Amino acid sequence: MASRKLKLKCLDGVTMEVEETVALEWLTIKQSREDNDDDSEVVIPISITSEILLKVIEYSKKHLETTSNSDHQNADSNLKAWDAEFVNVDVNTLYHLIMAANYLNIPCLLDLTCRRVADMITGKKVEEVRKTFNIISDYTPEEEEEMRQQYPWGFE
Amino acid sequence: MNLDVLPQDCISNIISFTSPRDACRSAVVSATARRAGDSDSVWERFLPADYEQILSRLVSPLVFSSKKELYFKLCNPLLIDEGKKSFSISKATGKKRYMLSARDLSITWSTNALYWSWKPLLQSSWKVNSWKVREMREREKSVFLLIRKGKHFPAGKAFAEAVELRTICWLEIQGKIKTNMLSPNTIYEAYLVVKFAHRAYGLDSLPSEISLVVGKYESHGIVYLRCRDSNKIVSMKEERIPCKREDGWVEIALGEFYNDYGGDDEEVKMSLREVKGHHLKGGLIIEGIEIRPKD
Repeated sequence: MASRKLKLKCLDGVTMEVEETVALEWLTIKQSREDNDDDSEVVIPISITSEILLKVIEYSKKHLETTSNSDHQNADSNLKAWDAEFVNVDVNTLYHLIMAANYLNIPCLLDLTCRRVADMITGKKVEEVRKTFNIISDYTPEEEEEMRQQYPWGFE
Repeated sequence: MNLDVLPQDCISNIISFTSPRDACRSAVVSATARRAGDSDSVWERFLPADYEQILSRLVSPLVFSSKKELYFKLCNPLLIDEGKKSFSISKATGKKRYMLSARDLSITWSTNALYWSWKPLLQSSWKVNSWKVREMREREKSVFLLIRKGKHFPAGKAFAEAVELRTICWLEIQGKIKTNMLSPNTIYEAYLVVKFAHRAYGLDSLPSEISLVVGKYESHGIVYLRCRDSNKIVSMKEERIPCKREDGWVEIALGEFYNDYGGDDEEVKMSLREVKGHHLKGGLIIEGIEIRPKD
């Protein structure tokens, strides 16, 4: 029995078909299906590019597969390794994945991507963080010094 | 593309996965990062899960306008449980630490004034060199101010009493704390916090036995109750060495354990005893037992 497919129209104009079982993992889609309970072929517009949507589909498919597998012990550690590889991408892609996970409301993907960025920040100096994330400080040197003085322990 | 493209609560989510120190630093990175890093959702994650319950046990209520402010206020010890214990968190990790006051311990014969003498903790007869005590009366309450090197510590942060050993053969001190009060998945160390009066005698004729028991785990050792210069240590295999603390007291390690007891109703029992010698000992002043995460 073939699973029903949903049509999603991406930001870049591309319409993609996604298996319903996968799309219903995304709480935003699930909610909208519950609200519009009709069988007709509705095309759902989403604020994500097709490139990122492909990655999100890949993630959800992998996680669905793993939960339905019986070999529990190995499955967990294999999935962790797969997840680590999945977020081993450049900062811009990470930002897009975070926004997609936030928009589609996929808590475990949001967690995974945010933790990955957190790992890139932990223990780093202010200048290194700015460089990694292309942040231009909007403080004057005096304001910055004042901020440093407020919680000096952060810079010990 | 930079961090600003992300919604603020995503940035807060990211920062909450770092550490308190990193969250402080985020205030300097940019104004956007500061707003996200200062948010209550971030600092709530760093606070102990049961912080509201702990706040309800404080002797003096805390006033705070943000969770970040609360976090830093809790880094200093505060009295809880009618002054029987004090509580604080480790600044770097947010893990819980407690001190049990002398009144919260089981000290054999401590109710008998012939053997043990209870005195206010802040008192010049403790003969602590750089400390002075001034007592003020405020309505019906007495407020003890500790003046040390120009800093004032209002009451509500120090225990009311300590207990001094006058003379005894049977020295036995025990303390207990439930594992569910402590932070999970953390190695904890327990220390007996004491001072040696000028007139101290007989305490180090024989070694004292120390132990820590929790669930099926037990650790035992010995310690000589005397204050030594920690530079001149010749440590024997199981001997612990009393160490000087920053506050002028001395701490004696009683043991350490890994708290992975989750919600189990386990209790940590910590003790020091010298009951084999029949000789008299005296001059040991006890402030309490401190339980803190290992560095």
